[in-house]
Amino acid sequence: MEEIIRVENLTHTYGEGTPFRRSAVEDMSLSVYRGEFLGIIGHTGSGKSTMIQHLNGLLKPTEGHIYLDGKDIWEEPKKIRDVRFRVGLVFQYPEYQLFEDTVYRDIAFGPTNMGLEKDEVDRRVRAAVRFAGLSEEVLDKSPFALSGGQKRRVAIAGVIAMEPEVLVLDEPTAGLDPKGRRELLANIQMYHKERGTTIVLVSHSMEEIAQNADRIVVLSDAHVLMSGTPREVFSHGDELLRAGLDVPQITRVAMALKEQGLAIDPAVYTVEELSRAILSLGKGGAVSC
Amino acid sequence: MLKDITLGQYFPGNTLAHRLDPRTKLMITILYIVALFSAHSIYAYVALIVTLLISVKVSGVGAKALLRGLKPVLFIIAFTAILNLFYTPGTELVHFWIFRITKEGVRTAVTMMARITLLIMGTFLLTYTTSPIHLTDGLESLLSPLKRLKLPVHELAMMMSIALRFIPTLIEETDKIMSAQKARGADFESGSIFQRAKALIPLLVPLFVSAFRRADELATAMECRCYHGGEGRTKLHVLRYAAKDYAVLAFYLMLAVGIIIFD
Amino acid sequence: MSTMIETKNLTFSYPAAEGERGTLALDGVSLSIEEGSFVVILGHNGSGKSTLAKTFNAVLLPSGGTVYVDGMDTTDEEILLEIRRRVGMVFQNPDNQIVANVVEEDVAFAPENLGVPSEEIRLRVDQALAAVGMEKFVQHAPHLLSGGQKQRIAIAGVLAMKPKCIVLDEATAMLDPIGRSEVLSTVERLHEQDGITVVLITHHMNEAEHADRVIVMNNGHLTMDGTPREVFSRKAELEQIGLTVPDTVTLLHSLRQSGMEVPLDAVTVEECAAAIMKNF
Repeated sequence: MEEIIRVENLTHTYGEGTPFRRSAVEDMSLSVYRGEFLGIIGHTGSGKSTMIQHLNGLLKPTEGHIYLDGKDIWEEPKKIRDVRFRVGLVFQYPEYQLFEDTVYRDIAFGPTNMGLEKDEVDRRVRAAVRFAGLSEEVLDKSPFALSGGQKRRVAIAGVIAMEPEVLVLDEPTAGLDPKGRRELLANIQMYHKERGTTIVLVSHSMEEIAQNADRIVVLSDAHVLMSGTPREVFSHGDELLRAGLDVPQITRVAMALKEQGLAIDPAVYTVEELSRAILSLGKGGAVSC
Repeated sequence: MLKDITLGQYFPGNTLAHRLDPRTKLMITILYIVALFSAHSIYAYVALIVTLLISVKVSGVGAKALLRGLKPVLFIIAFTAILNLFYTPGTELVHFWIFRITKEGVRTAVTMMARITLLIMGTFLLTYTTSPIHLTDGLESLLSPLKRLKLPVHELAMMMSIALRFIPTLIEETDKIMSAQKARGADFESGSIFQRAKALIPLLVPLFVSAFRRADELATAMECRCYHGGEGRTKLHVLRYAAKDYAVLAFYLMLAVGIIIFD
Repeated sequence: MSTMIETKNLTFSYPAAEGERGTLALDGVSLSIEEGSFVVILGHNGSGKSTLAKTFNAVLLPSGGTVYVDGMDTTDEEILLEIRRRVGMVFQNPDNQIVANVVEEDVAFAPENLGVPSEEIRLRVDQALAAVGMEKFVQHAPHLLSGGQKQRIAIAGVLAMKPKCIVLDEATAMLDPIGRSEVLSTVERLHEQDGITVVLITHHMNEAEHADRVIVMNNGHLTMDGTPREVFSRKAELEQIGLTVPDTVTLLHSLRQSGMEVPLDAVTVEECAAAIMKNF
């Protein structure tokens, strides 16, 4: 796998030289591979928000380096804006950043800042709206007249329209209802498949990460606690719970069954897998012992 | 980062200066300012400086912090001093090229500098030793007689305390929106003044929208907690004058009256 | 047991925006909530669940029908404060419901408004903060607390009114899992120890696990009403109106389809595991 971003020994300290000095990220190293769907999980205060703001150069490392395609992004500080176009970052509750009088103009903000031709901006705005799961009808509306879920999609489209190589989303489904959450994730998944864009999804919902990510990085207390495929990570269920993290409900059922003596892999995390595992124990409904 | 700005200059503590009733502190600050502007003689200034030094000592606020407070106004102090130095007519001391320095000029420059410095240090001492919430309480209580003139004293005090409550929240929000727009290539740092002003729109519009939303939600939340104006309202902390308040007030009153009469 | 909140044929419509028709957010809702019960109201965004909650303490007044709180009609302006005192509300955004910049001052806000004597306010503030486990934060600045802590302060602020009922209007929606469980366990404790009636509005299905009763709203109507077990066993219907059932229930459905003898209403992880173990 080819590395697209490498975070090397990253430390970020807030309030240097004051009594409130605090390292939000400490000596953290991790890689993002081209074309993957990476899930980052960690509770509030684990350093995940601070870490991802380094990926596009919004924050400058106190120590350590960020490499994009093998090149240190701070090598030429003047070109940091180009990094932001290549690594698109969608913040938490992004709908609060909408400001234009039409949806079209708001989505066009990023591509226009890139200095693109009008036709190209237009093409990108229309493509982004579609990927975000909205119809072109909303383009002429005021973003403030839309529903909460639609506003969120417009804000995401605003970043997609820059056609970044890596799309980083910080808690994109926070506050949405189950249907809204499911649909939005499906849209992100579709975008990932169709365009092959590398996705970094930050979430504190284990279910969400488990169902979407190829690989998971778990952050805890400013460090990387573990990383691997969902199955590898959830096989450390106890450790995750100790770090104050959730594990998927299905994994918890599997863990309980294992504890009570069933031969079940406690690392399963989808309903289908667990159902199959239980049924394969052979007795399909028959009562034993 | 905006987050790093420390807001409200209150230094928590438990000294006599901290424990005084906020109304006492507000009143003595006013008395001190009155005395300051009535002072002419060197004796009066000595008295004022000594009073301030004692108050600083009692408050436990470091000299460093107090001097740091002067920094932003250093320019104004210097400017006033220079103006007075060169443009006061009177007995000539030095004369070179177009500049004339007079005896009166030197005198006014020095007094003006002393006045502004003492004024600023005095008021800073008030905010250093009094938390914003006590300050608001004190103001509300002191101004309450004005309610009879139909002045919305309670409402003003409530507005002030809510503003204080939301300053950190809005600063954090500004930071967040700025980062989000920068992530879309917004540039707040370069370009002409006109371009920079225009670049603020993506920041200001969301900030206003959010402030209105917050105000709306807060109003509902306040109603839900039975807020219905200042009528019949009680307080968790009731302000009460103690012996020390009377003593301190009497001292400052004497200082002010003394300077007004004898100086 | 007496009735805490009762709505009779309640309708509510938001005023029409220019050029659009007013939307009927609540359409003939009749329900009664018993004193001392723990009720969860579920529904997708726009189902009318938050609107319903806001009629429970006269933040919104009915467009048609009536709402009684402890037998009092919410349209009676004379007793408005008494109604709001009895039914406390906690909202979604923790930042937008904290009034003061010191924790104790914030908790004191409601009793101050109610004209409670100072010594009594002190007592209530200390009790309320202890009840939500935040007694160590009396002098803290609220903006430096975590989301879960802020919501516990908001709950304490409501408790200081000595309410009979607490309504949490999506109060956990903006919290992380830790914050969410802090708030939920606080509310559960208040319900169990002090017998406070709890109405919890949410779209997190797992939060309904411990309720006595689950009410499901859709398009301004009340579509389901029963115990968590009863409601979650109606998986297909829930999914049709944009809600999901906990994964445990989906698992049981899948096992049942494959011929295993499992109940469909074992909602919690423990219950689900126990139900499956019965087959081995």
